[in-house]
Amino acid sequence: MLALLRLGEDAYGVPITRELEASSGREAGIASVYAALERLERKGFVTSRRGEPTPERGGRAKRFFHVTPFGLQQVRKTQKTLVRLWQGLPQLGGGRS
Amino acid sequence: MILIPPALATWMLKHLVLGKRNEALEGDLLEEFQRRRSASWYWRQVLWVMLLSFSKALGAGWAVIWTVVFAGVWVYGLYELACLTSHSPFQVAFGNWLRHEPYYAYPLLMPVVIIEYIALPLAVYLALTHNLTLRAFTVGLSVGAAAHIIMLLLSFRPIPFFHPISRALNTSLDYLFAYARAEHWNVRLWLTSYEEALRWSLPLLTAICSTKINRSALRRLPGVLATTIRNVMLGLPRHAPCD
Repeated sequence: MLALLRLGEDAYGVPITRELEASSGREAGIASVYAALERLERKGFVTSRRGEPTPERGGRAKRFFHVTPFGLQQVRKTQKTLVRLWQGLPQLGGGRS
Repeated sequence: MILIPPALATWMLKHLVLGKRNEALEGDLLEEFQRRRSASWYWRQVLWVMLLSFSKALGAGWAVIWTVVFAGVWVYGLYELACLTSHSPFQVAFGNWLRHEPYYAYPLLMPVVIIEYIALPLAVYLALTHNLTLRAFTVGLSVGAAAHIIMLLLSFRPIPFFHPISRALNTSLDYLFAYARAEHWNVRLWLTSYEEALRWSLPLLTAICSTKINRSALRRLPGVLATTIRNVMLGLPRHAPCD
């Protein structure tokens, strides 16, 4: 969902996957990304719309995703929870980077 | 210049992915393939799409998928193992002893058979699925052993081995099995050996079914396989893209 928020209006399968790969440094499967997005859509966190078919995609349309107000609310809630958890954490030592 | 991805992988993407056709996903794969230009990446993605669709169709029954794969490997592995070890000292000693003993020698050999063909693979399976507990192992072993004994009784020939007819019959069967192994790719004879392998694999399958898998997912398996076959034989029944 954070990747969708970062990409804005241009969030479809390929840029979302690239965004996740750039953030995590690991290869992300497009099928896995779609599986996650479809789960989020079922829960009402994101919605999707079809774009226009393009020749470089073999005449296949893009599917653009964006975060719903309810999804955004959940993101903020999760952010607050994470911030609270980090604040309560003692100084970490022993690990690198 | 538009690069063409591996044709077989594209065919598999169109025909072997279960559920509604995901046109957007197909387009994304094609678009990303133009940038990466790696056939191996494309193949990995297609196989992953197939696995995920299969998992979804079975209700996320990864245990079922793992069971089917494991059982398939076991059936063919067992067949090859039997061929490879047919001249090992263990097999020769037990085989010769069994061949020259009357039919009641079978029960004496049964513990060895149960350990080799049921307990060992069952333990490997349960360990790989992180389900190796004493209870799961005991239940699986009991069911597998019972199924094995029932199959032995069903295939039992009441005529003693020293009877001339029985001896002739057994000699013929031995010859047939040996010939089938030599003519591995002869389908008609290969099926005979396949029956032998299947006979050994059934107790294992029963044991696995009794311990691990989601039964409702297993009930969906024939339908999922039928859909796959229909997709391959008759083309795509999917008319509308999902998005």
